[in-house]
Amino acid sequence: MHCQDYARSHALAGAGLPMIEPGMPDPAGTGLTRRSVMLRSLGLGMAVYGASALGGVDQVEAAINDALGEHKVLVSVFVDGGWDALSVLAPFGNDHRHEARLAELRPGLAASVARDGANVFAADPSLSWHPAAAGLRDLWNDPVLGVAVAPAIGYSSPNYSHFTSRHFWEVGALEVSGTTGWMGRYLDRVGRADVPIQGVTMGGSLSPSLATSNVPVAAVYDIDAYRYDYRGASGRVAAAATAELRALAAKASGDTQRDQARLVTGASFRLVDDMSAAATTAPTSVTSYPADSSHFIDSLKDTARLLGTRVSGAALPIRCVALRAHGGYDTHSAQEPAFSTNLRITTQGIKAFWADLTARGQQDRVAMLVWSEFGRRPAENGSAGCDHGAAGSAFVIGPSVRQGLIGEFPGLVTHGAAGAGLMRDGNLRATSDFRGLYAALLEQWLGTDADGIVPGAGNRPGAGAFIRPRLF
Amino acid sequence: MTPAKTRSRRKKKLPVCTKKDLRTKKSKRRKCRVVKPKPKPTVPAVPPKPSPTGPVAAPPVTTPTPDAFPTAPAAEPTDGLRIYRGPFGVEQAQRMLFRAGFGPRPGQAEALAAMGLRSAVDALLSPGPVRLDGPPPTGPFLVGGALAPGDRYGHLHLDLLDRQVRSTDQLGERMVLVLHDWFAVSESATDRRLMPVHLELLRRAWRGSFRDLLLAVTQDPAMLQFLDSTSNRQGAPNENYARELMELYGLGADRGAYTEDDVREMARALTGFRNDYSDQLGPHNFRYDPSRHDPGVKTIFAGTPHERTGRLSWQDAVHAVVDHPLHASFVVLKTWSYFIPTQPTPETQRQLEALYRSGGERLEPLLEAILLHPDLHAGPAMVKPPVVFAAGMLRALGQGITTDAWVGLLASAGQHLGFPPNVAGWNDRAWLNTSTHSARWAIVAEALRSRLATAAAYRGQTEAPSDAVEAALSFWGRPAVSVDHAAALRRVSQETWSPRAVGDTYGSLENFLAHRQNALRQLVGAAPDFQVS
Repeated sequence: MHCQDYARSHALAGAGLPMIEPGMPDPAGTGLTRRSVMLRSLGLGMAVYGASALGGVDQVEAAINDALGEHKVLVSVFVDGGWDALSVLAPFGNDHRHEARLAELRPGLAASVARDGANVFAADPSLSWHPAAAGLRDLWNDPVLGVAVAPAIGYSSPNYSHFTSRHFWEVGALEVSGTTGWMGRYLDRVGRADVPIQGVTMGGSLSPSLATSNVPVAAVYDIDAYRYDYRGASGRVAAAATAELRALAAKASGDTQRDQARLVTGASFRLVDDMSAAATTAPTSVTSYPADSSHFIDSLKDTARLLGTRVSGAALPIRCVALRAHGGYDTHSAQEPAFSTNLRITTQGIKAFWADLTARGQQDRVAMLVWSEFGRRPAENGSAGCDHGAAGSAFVIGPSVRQGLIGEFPGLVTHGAAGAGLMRDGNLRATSDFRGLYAALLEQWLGTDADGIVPGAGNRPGAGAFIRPRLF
Repeated sequence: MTPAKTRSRRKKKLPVCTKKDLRTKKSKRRKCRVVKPKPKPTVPAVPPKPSPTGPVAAPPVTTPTPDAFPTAPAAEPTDGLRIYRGPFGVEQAQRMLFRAGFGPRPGQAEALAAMGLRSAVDALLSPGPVRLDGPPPTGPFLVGGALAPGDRYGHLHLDLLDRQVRSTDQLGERMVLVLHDWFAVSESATDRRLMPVHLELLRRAWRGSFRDLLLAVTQDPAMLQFLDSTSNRQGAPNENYARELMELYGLGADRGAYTEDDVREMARALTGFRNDYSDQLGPHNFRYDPSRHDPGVKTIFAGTPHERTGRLSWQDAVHAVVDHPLHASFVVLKTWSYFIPTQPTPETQRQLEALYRSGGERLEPLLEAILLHPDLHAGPAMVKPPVVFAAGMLRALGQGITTDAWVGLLASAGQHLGFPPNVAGWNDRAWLNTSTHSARWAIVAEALRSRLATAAAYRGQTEAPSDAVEAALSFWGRPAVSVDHAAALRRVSQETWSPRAVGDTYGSLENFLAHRQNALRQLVGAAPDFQVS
């Protein structure tokens, strides 16, 4: 089969539904919506009656949404370098013990967070939003969106290597040898063998969180620039060469990396169809994003366009999106003003993205996770920065998200004393585990059992299993 | 070459220098000889043949069968390391040139194959006086007729690419690339003016001991700035360099080689560097200032047999890493991974570690063993890193750097030299994804751009389908293609050959022939099999 044939209709066919040809109009004059056509196609013409037999209207609705490619989507925003959680939500507020400790630990850096009453964090008034995190604060105050905040998230026996700690978060386990990502394993469970866009990284290199073992995933830097143009060749010969490449891509050679090259070739040509649909049919963003030059901002806009793309009424079958926040957060020296700039662009971008999604009517099927590999050392170093630390912060954002805290802020009391928030090495103690957060996202948002995706999540509830925050 | 073999070929007057000797300054060293490979035959310089601009100009090329070049009797591996003994033909030579360099010039793989494996490896290791062969960079992006790698954005990348394309020391340039990944200093956190000196250091020092390289890198201005070493001072330690010295440069993470306490103690030992800053010069006058050094007692690797304690200096910190029992295995596995995609067997790893230690902690003997190893020649293929892919095409075409588009194209393909993505360098196991694949397509198209087949060149001529395929393969210097790939090329050439189609779509036969040739060339360069070597 030539991959030109690949289209949204495949999602429908794959779900056991009749093929809906691209470009097929809605049945004229029947008064039927596309959804009711789908219901009929499903053999559920008497949807109301049939629904109860199938386990409820919600499930039928979900099945239809899936068939139309309108999966629930998880957007992951990775904050690269280990962001300073104690600046994002700084321990300034109504607890003077925190403030006094912070002044001891950070005689220089603490001053960079304005003590602005308007920035007090409502869920824990001993904390305040960094002025540059106003985008997140506004989302928190948004009456429609929910934001769940983990002020000190991590894992036991924290690792202070960027790469090891990030790897743990990416593979969803404390395993240095893991090769598939936690979202990748979700895609391996529910995804399809011919739909690379189901897991898409908005950038030039694939997010390891999306690494799969069975199904293809995609990376795209700029949806408008994703093209395969020939130089000095067109017409039949170019079409024939492309067709041959696609055919070659589908053959296994038995050599691992050669086959990897073939698989990626095949996935790339499939992706061209999706990108050209998005580039030609999805309008550019009408809401206002930060004007800064930033690939993160560009990739947020592209993500919103991809989610808003419809081909013959069907959405692109996206399930997971991975983005990298603006800037680097490995602030060993001269943390400010770079940290503020990067945080502002990142959080204002996220805020604009949600406005964009809402303008496109896509917000209800999206949840966003914002995370970093660790937080930074509570004590600043001698270079107006801070070294690698333990617990960091994470945020889950979306209209379906229950607003509130995931774990509490542990405070800054020295190790050994009562109510110690710091560990022996002076780093912040985690009060929630990222694997519990993943299990909650999988089960409460994506609707699949975390067992088999997050190692150790099986024996629930309690009894050594990770505590799953109630997020939705 | 194994050390034993080296010795047998040399005069036996002096004892071989020990590690300790090599650490001593030459002038103060006891009389001993440094074991270095004997000068070897150089890669025969093959004048870059003008590649056929017209498709009919392609000369018939006979692909030598592997049997035509029996391998020379190989040296006995007295240290037990296995040596590849299979056929060493053009295909094997092409792979070796892509793994140990940047691909063959036209005719170079054939010449290397004729030498046999042993001499081919010797030639790569000892290239003789280094020259830059081929056309130097041209274009409006040059500054005063030359690249300005310490000044202009992207020029460091172009300078490296130019050397990769033109240097006669292909393995040396490949090692610069390897070490640029290993130490991963980035212009994003280092003043650009410091970068050329840093890369020149890598180019100059890699053939010496790794210990000396690590000492040199530790006090190299680009690295001092990159990992905040000049902010690391007595009473105000900054752990950045201390951590990466162990994790990324000398010992590796997650192997139980060091603890968080070691990071902190190491950081104290490394205190004392500083620099000045001015708007005009940027960071400059990098130096060691004893008054900023923490003179106290530090303990590194506490509680282990290799514990070091005392008023340790920054040099002591580096020596502690190199003397650590897990250092050799780290270097061996990391070096191996750049050339061979599969893991060495435990036995091979052990032998390589012994070779590394006995050879004065030098990378060169490791490379020699790796390039001779059956796992390279008979093992699975390996994805070409993006710059190897691009430089390989320019080498095959005999082209130089004529556009600065190579900066953006290679950034999109995932390898922007001078800008490693993070402090651990590039992810060398994940070059290919849908995004970088589309960039590789564009790289092929860019390489083709100045050499497109034109209708004018076909005027009054015709070209049989099989000749068109031959011409496209010759255009790229006759890379090895799989059976599947060859069949695909034949089908494109044959099945589009229809007088009616020619008339309808292309207007004229010569226009059709040009379009077909360009499509075939793209199909050779962009094929999945061409992404690996």
